[in-house]
Amino acid sequence: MWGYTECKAVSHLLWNYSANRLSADEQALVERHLTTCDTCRAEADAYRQTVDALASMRRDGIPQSRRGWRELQTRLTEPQPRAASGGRWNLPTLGWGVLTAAAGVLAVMFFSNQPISNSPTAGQSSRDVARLSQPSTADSADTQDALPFDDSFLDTYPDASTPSRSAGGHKIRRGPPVVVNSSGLRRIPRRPMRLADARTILRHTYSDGIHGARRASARIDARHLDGAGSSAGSEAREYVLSPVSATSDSEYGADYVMGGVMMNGRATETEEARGL
Amino acid sequence: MQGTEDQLVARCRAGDLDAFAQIYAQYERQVYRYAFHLLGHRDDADDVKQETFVKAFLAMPGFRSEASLQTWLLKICGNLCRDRMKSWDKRKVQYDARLEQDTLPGDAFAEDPMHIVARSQMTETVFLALQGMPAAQREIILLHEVEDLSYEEIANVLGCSRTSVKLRIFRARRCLKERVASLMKAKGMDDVGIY
Repeated sequence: MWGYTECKAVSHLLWNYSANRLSADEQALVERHLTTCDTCRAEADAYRQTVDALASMRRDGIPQSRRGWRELQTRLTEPQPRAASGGRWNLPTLGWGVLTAAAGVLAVMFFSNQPISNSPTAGQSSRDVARLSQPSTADSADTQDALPFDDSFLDTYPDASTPSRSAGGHKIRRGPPVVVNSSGLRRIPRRPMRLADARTILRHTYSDGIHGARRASARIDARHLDGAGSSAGSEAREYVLSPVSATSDSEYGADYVMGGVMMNGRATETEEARGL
Repeated sequence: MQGTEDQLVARCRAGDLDAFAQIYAQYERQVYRYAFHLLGHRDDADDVKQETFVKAFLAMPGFRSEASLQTWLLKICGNLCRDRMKSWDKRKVQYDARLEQDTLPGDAFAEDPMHIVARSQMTETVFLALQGMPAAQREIILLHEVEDLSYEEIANVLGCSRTSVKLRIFRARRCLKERVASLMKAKGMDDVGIY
């Protein structure tokens, strides 16, 4: 009876005994018990192996990191795309924008003494302000596109609004729509596209900033088309940009955006596109 | 050490990148290792490591030195890893981590090859068992057993009490023990002790 009680008491100490974390008194107690109890000794040996294995993970075994100080230094020193206010088109920002634009319009009217419509700069400003001041529509994502690249090529691709589509024996299931958050993260188009176009979008979407940073990680899934429905023959592939997550880092108040295209077929090639 | 850290932090607050480079050199490996074991994915661990240091540099003016730099960095890293794992849960991303099997310790040639193989197998088994554990339990095992943090430091990283940490460690160890035993039995290695 006493032996069972002692075993129970010692068993709570065995892990720390194996990791050399016991006080001298506890260690003496455990060692005294282990000389008489085979079961606890075997358990202590097993714990020691586990503890040694965990300790070895500290020393070696994991692969080397591919990204070093030089890359981090570049990120820390490069000018950030967004201002420190969080990079969001919040109400105060818009208010100042409207005031600034209005002041510009008045200044142009005063100095040039010409109608507003004849002044391209003022006209452009007022159009911009008007566009930004518009209440969000049902497809507000498009109004928040802020990436400086020509995305007109997207119009040349088939519309992905249908819930599912089959091609080449594979079925693409559409995921939930990508939400555009308040930081103005661009909606990533979920439709087949050329690899170069997917890369272009990703490169612009993957924009890490300091405050109000936009960050998206996505994956370009490629799949071979078996010729059926493809105009480019057996080498044809479709590339689908699949957003994994997009986070807006605003001092730990991160919100992330989910969505994307789930490949429900045999993806024959996957290109990790992080950090393009 | 603490004095040196305080000086480095003070220089970082002034925007000194050289000082931050020293902090990076000191903790980069630990942050990467923590992220790698938590996420089980090399590229994600790389991303999270870089993100951790970017956040740390930007938040340095708000760092009050109440915790050590080490626990502060691990806390940021843990938060980023959890965010990433949440997104994975929705996409059913699989872990694909592998330990590098060709890494031998420095004294490998002075040791019985059988011991090296046995230890390597044990390490791989424990690694697999860890990867199969719930993230919260994996995290606390990593902090305590791999990163060798004290209860207080872990409480600081996880934002909970010392008592809670002790209880969680107890449960996590029990879970790890069961998983290791199960894996060893499956591999036919159950001739070792209680496993």
